[in-house]
Amino acid sequence: MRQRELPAVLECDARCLPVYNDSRHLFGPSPSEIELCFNEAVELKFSSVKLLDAGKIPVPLGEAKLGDDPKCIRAPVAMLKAGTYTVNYRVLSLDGHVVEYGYQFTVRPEPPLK
Amino acid sequence: MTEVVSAFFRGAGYMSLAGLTGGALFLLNSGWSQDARISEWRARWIRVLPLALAISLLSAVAVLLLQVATTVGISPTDVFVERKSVELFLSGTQYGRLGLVKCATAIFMLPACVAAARARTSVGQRRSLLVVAGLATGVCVIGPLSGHAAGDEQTRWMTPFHMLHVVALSAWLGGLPLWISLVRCVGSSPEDMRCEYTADALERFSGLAIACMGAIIGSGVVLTYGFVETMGDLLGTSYGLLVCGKVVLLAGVMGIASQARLRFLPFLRERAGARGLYPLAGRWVAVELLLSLMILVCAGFLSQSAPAAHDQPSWWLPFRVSVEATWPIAPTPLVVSVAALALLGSTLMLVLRWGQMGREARALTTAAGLASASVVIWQLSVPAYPDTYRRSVSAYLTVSIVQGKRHFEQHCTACHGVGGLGNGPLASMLPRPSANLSEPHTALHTAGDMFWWLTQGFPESGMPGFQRELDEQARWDVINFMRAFSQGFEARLLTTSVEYGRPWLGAPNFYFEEKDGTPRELKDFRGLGNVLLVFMSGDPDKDTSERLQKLAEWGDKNRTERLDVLVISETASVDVGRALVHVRNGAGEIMEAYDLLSRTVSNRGNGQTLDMGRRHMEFLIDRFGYIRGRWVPEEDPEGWSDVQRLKDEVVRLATEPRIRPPPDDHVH
Repeated sequence: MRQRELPAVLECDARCLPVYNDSRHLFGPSPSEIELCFNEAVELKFSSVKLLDAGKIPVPLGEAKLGDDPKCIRAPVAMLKAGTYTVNYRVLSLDGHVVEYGYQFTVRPEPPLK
Repeated sequence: MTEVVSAFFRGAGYMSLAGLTGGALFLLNSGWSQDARISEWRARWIRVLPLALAISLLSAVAVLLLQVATTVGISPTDVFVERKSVELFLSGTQYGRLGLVKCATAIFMLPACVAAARARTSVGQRRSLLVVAGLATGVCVIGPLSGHAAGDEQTRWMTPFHMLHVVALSAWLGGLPLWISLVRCVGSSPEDMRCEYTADALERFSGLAIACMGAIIGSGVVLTYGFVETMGDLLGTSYGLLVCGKVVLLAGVMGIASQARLRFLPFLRERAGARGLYPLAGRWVAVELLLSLMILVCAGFLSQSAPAAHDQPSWWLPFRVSVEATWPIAPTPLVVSVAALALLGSTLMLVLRWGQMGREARALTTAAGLASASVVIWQLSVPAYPDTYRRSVSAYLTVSIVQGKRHFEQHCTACHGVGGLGNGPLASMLPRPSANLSEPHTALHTAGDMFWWLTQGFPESGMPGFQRELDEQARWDVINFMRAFSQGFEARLLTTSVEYGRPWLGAPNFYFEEKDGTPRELKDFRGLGNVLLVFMSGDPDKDTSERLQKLAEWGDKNRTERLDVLVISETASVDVGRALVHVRNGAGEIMEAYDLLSRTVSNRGNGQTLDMGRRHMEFLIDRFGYIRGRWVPEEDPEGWSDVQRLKDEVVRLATEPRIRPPPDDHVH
């Protein structure tokens, strides 16, 4: 089965209005990366992303990088089991504001192929 | 605490920078004088410039270090230990780099300040002051490059206005201390020549101040327009309240400034008037300066507050003004019109006949005006709650609607009924009838009002709050479901014939994958072309397959009247060919949400369930994201079975003018 490249997408604001939690709609068994998109460009050097599983145990993430769009941060993630995960992030926007927030997403089992 | 200290240093930085910009401009405008007292006055202020420069530099460094502390999450005192973090911040972030450029530019001002103090000729001093004013203006311009507007490409167009705002404020405000000091200096020893000099200097400053004030107000309005979207933003966020505070203070400043211009400037050249008027004017302008410094303190806090449009408003008034909600209700138009006319009349009376009115007449007219204004506000008001202007944290997505439906079924049906019609088993025991959620949503309530009721309950009606049972996102999901459910009853009028020029029903968004696995969303089609959503719970018959294939191929060839066809079905076997997109994963959820929008005039549902249980339905969505047509084959077998009929609708839709996409929530 092909590995889907669908990222967990979070559209939110680099200020204080995060969690347009589109990420609840994950089709595949696991996202290949966590992608956080904001409405302001962010400073990667002072931004961090953490992933916790349902038991609040940290899940290893690859090195976070800016996406093609400087308003997005992408962090690769290994195959996740079905379950609920929490993404915590702390980002610095270009205008010097720090935003700290978290959101949850669920990885569902893949529906059976007909 | 760090924020307060940072705001203090920002305010001090603004003040010192204004002193450099406005002070240098005032000295340039007032010109050289042979009079010993004036010369001494000028020399004293020129010696103040390096001091202002030192404060400006120290403030800039302090703000940078405090920013590092906030960013790294350490206490301000630890910044001196965390040198690597400081270096990384200064070299690796735009905010840090621009801070360094500001400091470097300020340092370049030092030789010019010293040269101005040592100049022995008017030309030399003028040149040095020009350099100081130019570099100080440069520092003013750099600041907004790391401000609110610069960080977002959608608001970046406001950066020049932000620059203009800061430069104009600095040029005007920095001149006020010199204004006061010159008036005091000359007032204590008025000579003809000194009075002439003062009159010239203050008249020039007055001209500059009027221009600056125009720029401050104009750019301020633009910035407020960009960062404040609703009344809730203006009165319910710290950003909005700071803006209001600035406006009130500025009104006071302008009142004093206009009095100084009208009652003081015309008599400046009269030596006799100098003895009495000069000290009085000095005191009033000192009050103006104090108000201006308070504006700078507000600006200091404003620069580190979230722009109102990015914050969650907390509304503190028990009412809000809404023309949209109150105007259709009689006798609002009549009462408001009469009261508005009375308000206009009393205002005109006060403005035009103030001098001819006695004290009692003024008081009566003012009272009449205030009473009229109160009637207007009262008549246009509807109840409001702290969350009235709260922004949704859950986008209008099919996944949110379906989650909201689940929460509704779990927590709400006992009162609101399994069909959402307000006829649940407990409804008869409540102090007020349960809301029938099929009724159209009105402008009387915002989404934030509903969020408040879901959170805190509605005691008068017996509805409990669900803060414990549902987290914030879940409560917004319920509101998204209620929106879709209510709109489903309004959407009964939708047919296969498009009503042109009247789009109103926003299509719930959803995510899907292309054939090659590329993630996409329905919103991606906005601005590109029309979309036909085909929902099927079983395999399509031969005719349907051929029809869909024809439609998809037709759309592919005619780009101007483009039609993308998405077949949304978890179970159907569809020969998708090249042009069709088959959405399989998550299709059940998308179909469940759109099923809420499939009620028709002849079939509004059985009231025993929220669903319609459609097996086949098709929605035509225009290029702006509105649902414009719908076919439910089980109720209208002909419908769009003739491909040409649908093509005709799509061609006509292409002729419609561009409109705004539907809002993501329904806050009025």
